Amino acid sequence: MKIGIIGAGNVGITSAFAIAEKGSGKILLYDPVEGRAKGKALDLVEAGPIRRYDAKIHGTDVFEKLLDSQIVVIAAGKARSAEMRRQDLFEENLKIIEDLADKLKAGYADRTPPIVFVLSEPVDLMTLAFLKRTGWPKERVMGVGGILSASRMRHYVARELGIQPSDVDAMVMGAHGDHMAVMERYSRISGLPLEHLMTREQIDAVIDRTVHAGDEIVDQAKVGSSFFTPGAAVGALVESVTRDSDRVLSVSAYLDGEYGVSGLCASVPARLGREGIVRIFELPLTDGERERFHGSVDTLKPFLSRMP
Amino acid sequence: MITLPKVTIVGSGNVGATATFYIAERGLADVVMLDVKEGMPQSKALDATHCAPLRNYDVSITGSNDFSAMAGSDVVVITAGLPRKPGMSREDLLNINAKIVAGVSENIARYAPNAIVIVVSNPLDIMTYVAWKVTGFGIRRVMGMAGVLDSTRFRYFIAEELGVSPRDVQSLVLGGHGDEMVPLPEYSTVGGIPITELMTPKRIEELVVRTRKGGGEIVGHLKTGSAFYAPAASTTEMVESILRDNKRILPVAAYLRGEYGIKGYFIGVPALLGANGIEKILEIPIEDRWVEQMRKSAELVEDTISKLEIDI
Repeated sequence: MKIGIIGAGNVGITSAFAIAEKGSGKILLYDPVEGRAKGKALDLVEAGPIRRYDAKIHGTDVFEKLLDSQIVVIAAGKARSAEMRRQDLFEENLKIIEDLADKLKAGYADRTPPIVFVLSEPVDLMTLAFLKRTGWPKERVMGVGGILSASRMRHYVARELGIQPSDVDAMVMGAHGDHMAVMERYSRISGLPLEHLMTREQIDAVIDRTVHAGDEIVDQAKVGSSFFTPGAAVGALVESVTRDSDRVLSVSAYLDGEYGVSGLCASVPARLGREGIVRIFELPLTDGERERFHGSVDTLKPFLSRMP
Repeated sequence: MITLPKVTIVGSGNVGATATFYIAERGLADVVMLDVKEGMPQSKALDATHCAPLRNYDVSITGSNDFSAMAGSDVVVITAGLPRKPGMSREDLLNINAKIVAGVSENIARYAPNAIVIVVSNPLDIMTYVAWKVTGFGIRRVMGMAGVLDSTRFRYFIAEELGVSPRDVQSLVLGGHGDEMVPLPEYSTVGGIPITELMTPKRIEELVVRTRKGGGEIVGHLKTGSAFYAPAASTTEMVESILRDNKRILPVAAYLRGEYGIKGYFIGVPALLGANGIEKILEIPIEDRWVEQMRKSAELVEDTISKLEIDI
């Protein structure tokens, strides 16, 4: 399995590291800045003997070399800096995504399109833009959104209770950003509902922290945004595809009537296998939950008219 | 100086040997394998050390027939006991194993007075009680391994049924080990989604039945011998949570003092496992019929204990 990563910034190389550690396949890191991908790829393979991975990792500034990848990770575009919100990157990253979409579409004209993971922000809109521009099957293109916030929430729940994050499940749906829909009822501790172990105040504080976790990192870092968690998320997603392991994870998927939404990408729980999204789980939602989900997704709509 | 914790596994059969291997692979502790059978723990310990270069571990693994070798253990796991042989009644077996577990427990009290004890020998809820009584240890330092095993089987069956990764399935199986198991489908989830929203009640019930008979299904195939990979993996999960103070919430057989309306016996309940053993027992709302079932298990345990021929 060949995995192409577009963008050798922090998110791209951390994704490469996570993929290498899991032994998911051979990695090609692409960046248009000459030498950048090559240098980072060298650094990554040289850590292999200590970290015990033997993945082949190469770097290139030649786009065409990506075109036989079965999986493509798009970690290209601008990252945020302090006080910026994800949607502030819309204009700039849209151009980059559309350009990449055109080049990939042409490159894969006579072969099966790869499975594509989009990380560029605002992720739901960039995923949609990529899908529209390529016209590729909706099962094969998804954005890294819900899984990322879920990981943060799992951490905050575990830290609050002094337990293990691996025992915590969290479900975050909708648009990735200030209006993400944290689904408390589908967030559990060893299968138990949160309210069995946490007070209302604790749960609310954890949810609030989760929603603003990305901003918190950006505001602390001043320039640049989080990359360890996005990279780790890519590692898990890629692994589910390469091993056909059918994990159930929340990704930004194109909705075609699911949850009463059409023509938009937003995070929903999905089963991921060899061919991408195998199934979208349509969870029964209460009126309040449905309202929050739709409220979240509605924040994406004003941008649609700005997409060609 | 920082030293590794020490775990003693009593009984070097398949469960004991496999648990040793898993503990070594996770680098959790130095392991002492103890068995009364001469040469057996020594040979298996040697074999386990030989794969260290390939499996990348560097814990020490030794075998002994002398109980004094468990001195200073942080955790002692009791897997000792006989399997049922043709012509042997359940009661015969019960008394034989109770005697074995009582003997081991006396030695634990003598040589490893600060250890936390995990009982794996069957019948589990009874043997755990025997170990607790004989060691005289505090109620939070003696526990039985059953719920993690029943849960991992249930989790696997759910994953298989739904075609999802077992890694994303959680469940808590409580109550007695075996027929009195309490499965709690409403707290069994796939990535946070309760299975009650993904499967029909009929299908869930079928998986519950399969879980209940999970051990028997394997014995049925093997004819002689029983499961050991999953029991050893379940034991290791508990050992890890204790030694690393992970405070995982796992279903374990714990001594109850009124929780779920049960007093004075060991029954499977969700508990927080950390450096001090059972640090907290979680009382979660469960349906009346399940509480009833747990109480029935406790009555069975009580009845069996009263019939034990050994003096504890």
